[in-house]
Amino acid sequence: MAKGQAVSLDLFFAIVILFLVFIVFVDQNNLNINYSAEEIIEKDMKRAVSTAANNLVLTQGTPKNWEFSLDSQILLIGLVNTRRVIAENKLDEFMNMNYDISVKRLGIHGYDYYFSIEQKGIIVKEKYNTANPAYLSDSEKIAVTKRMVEYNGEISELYFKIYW
Amino acid sequence: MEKSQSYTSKYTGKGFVFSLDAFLALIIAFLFIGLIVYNPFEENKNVIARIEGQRQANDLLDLMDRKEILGDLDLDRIEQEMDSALSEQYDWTITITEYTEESTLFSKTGTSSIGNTAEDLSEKDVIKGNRIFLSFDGKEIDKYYVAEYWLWLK
Repeated sequence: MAKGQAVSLDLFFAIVILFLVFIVFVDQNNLNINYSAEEIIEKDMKRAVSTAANNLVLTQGTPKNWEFSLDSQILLIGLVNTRRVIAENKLDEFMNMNYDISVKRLGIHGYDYYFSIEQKGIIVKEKYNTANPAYLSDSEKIAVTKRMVEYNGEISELYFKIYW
Repeated sequence: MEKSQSYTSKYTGKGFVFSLDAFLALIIAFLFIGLIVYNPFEENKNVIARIEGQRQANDLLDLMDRKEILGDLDLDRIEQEMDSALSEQYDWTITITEYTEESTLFSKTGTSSIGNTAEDLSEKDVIKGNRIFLSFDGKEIDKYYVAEYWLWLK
């Protein structure tokens, strides 16, 4: 009888501990899944912003003279002819491009973007979704990158942000 | 009295086995919980900041070389450009080493350091890079330089 009681008590404790571990497991696993989803989005945004900025400041775009091509023929936007030196005609074309088309040509489908060039703290060029400008400041998820470029003969800061 | 001693001894033995079981079970349980709580994404957080810093520094050295700020060895201007260009989260130092060609060999003929040179970098997770540039005397190459930068998160 005494032995039987001891076994029951052991079993009871074992079940309680197992149950507690199971609760922690389920709870933490849910947290991790959500956390990972957040992290994956964040990581994807950082990858997207970094790739797009790299293309802008280090490549001519595709095709190389995309500024003279029809919108439908443009695959990728690049703003330079020499690495890190902004080409005025490419920049003008980019600034005048329809925002929605530019999103696709920058390779950041699904995100909105904010682009600016600053010289000594003053914004000299700026492009964003004018249809929904407040969205940038309201957005919780933003990935930002800053690159250094030469624009109009001066070392300037190029900011590229994407938000979701 | 004798009976009571015997009972205590038997009880202690059982208790010991139970404690060992419980101890092992707890270790396994903690390992299991630790494994659940561990998040592999956590480690990647600083990687992007490092890449970002490296890109900004490489951009700037390239531009300063192109605009002959490096070639002129204008240390004040280099310092000013680095401070204004790099994001606030980074601290940095640059060492520029000068080499002169003597027959076919290069000799180190000078070194200048700017930025936060006082920082002990042995314990820092630094981002390193360098750029080689030249200075000219007319059309002849005068000197060779290596600008090495160290960048770290504040």
